[in-house]
Amino acid sequence: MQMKNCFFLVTFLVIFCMSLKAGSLSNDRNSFSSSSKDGRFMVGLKGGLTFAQPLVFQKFNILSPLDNTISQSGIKRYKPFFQNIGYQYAFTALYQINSSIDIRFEPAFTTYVYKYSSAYFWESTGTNSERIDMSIRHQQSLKYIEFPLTLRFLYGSGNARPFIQGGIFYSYLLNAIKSFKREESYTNSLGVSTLNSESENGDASPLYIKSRYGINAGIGIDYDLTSVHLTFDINLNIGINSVTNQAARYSAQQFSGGLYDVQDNIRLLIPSVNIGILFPLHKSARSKINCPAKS
Amino acid sequence: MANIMAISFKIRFKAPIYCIVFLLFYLSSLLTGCSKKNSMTPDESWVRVYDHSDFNRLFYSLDVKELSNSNFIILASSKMDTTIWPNPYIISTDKEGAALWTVEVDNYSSPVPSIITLKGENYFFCMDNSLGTHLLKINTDGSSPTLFKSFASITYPLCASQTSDNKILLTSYDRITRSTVLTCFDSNFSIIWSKEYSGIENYEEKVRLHLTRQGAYFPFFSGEVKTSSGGYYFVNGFYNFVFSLLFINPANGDLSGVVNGIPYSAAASALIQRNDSSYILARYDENQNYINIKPDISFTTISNITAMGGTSWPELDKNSVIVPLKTTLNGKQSIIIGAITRSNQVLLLFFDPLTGLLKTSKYFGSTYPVNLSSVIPTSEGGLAVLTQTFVAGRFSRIQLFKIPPEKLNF
Repeated sequence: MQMKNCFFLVTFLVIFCMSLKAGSLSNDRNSFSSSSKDGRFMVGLKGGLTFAQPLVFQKFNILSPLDNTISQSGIKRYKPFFQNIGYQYAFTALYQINSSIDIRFEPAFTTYVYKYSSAYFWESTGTNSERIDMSIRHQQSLKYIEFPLTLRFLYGSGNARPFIQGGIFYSYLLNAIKSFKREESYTNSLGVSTLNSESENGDASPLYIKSRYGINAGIGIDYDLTSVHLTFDINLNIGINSVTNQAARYSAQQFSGGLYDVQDNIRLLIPSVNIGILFPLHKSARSKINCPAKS
Repeated sequence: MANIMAISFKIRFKAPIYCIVFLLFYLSSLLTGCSKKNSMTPDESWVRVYDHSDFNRLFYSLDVKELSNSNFIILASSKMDTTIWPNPYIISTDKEGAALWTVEVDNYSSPVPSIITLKGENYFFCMDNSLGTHLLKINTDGSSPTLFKSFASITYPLCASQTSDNKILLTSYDRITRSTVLTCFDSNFSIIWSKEYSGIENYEEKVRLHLTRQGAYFPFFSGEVKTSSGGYYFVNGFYNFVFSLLFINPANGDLSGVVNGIPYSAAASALIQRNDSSYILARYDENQNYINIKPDISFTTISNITAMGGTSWPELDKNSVIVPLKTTLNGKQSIIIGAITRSNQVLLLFFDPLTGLLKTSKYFGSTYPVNLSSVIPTSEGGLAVLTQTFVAGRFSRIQLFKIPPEKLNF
């Protein structure tokens, strides 16, 4: 809640500063602004789907196998990014440097989801063939407030203009929730029986560090409808730092003790697909009405 | 690229841009600065469960030692669920707790739950099929332990400890004389003296069930206490119809005092010297556990365990195994009392040795049943805790925690 207040405060300050700047410029538009098709300031909203891809650079496992047959026991198998669907929504503040370049500040609430599974088994070596399998499906949902600063280059001069963009971002973790489903089955010569099937969730916030930062890049298209701009973009958000709290890796005993689950050292790579709408704060000469002089 | 550079030079940074950039970096630095330390190398803190795929195999944890290279040696025992006596099982781990090699010793059984370190070598006592006692040396190269000495006349070895002057005390049970036997060895494992303390009643069945993990688990332990007039060895074992705490003359093994237990319901579970004149005594009585930081113990008379008082710890498991340790944590001497709670957690209580004040407590593990075996200090100034756990609630396996000193600040 405190972070949300902070977010709104920052957003308000940015809008306020931009409005002041817009006001100061409205009286002395120079040659640059007069060549621009639109006002130099735009605000808007943006939202879309995120697809998280964890990049593992060090694996950790609680179970240490004493025999080679279970060397894969408990090893995490991460789902590919297209199965890790989250969402985000953002406020956009855009400053148009010239007709081809603008800079955007888009504070956003993001939810990144990634999933993995792990499997275990134990089997008898005697004459009675018995086996117990345990599989656990994990889902981590990380909610961040994100502050990206992006430079956008637009091409062409029509209403629909493609663009490329790139920039930096800083994210602050608001919370993390882990949910899991554990299933156990017993197999013998008579068949397979389900022993146990349960789902739970819990707070995983201590397992992650608060700060995440990195770079982003993307492509898209900007459609000028005169009074508003519609945007569609595909963005790639590349985290530079590990999001795992290494000092607290084993601290969530609900997960480490009950599920034998601890977090690997991971960075997050987040492709996203977004649509947005932008409202120019000051219209350019094209939108001005030229009244005929009175005779 | 040249165009981009040229354009970027044309950018006129005005107040709003400065404002945005400033806010971004200000917020970043503020939030990053507020975050706690979050880096820790993988060898500093970990939990490992040593799993085996065999459905029918059982493991029991006994003791752990840290080697000079920060690797660990775990003494355990293992058996199939259809057999009676567990065999010694040794696990070597690296400093991150990953198993390097394991050795199962098939020709011996029932290892005594103590690794004895003398002159840089690690030893443990165990038993053969004729109930005789043997001393094996643990090899750190992954080969099977080497027989160091045999003591055919000492039967049913139960527990061992090391004194401050590097003598070794071995508690055993003699089925012929129905006695608890305390044997004192010198640092070459030559017997200095061996004394019997008669249990009168035949306790062989209880001893056998204790060793095979098929019946009640008794808190056999031994050690030494210092007093202004000298000192005493103590041993917890069957004596005079009950499970009692005996005080022994270190020079010759003569019995000097006894704290009698109550048959099947009350006994001492740990004793450790707190300072020059005080001790911490843990005991159980009718399924409750008590810890007395200043017990009024007489080492030369006969007294009763129920008169030893202490604070009740209802959260501790019924007749909990208590593991005491005196060590230095973060520059401060501490007495650590390790126990298991009714909610399947390892509880570590940290006492001030001077005042006996409980400074703090820490809980580790959850969910599945756990049995505490050993708590040792690590070279980094933290602790390593060895337990037996039940993987998936079913399969008894070995578990080792490494706790860094940062998490033991109080």
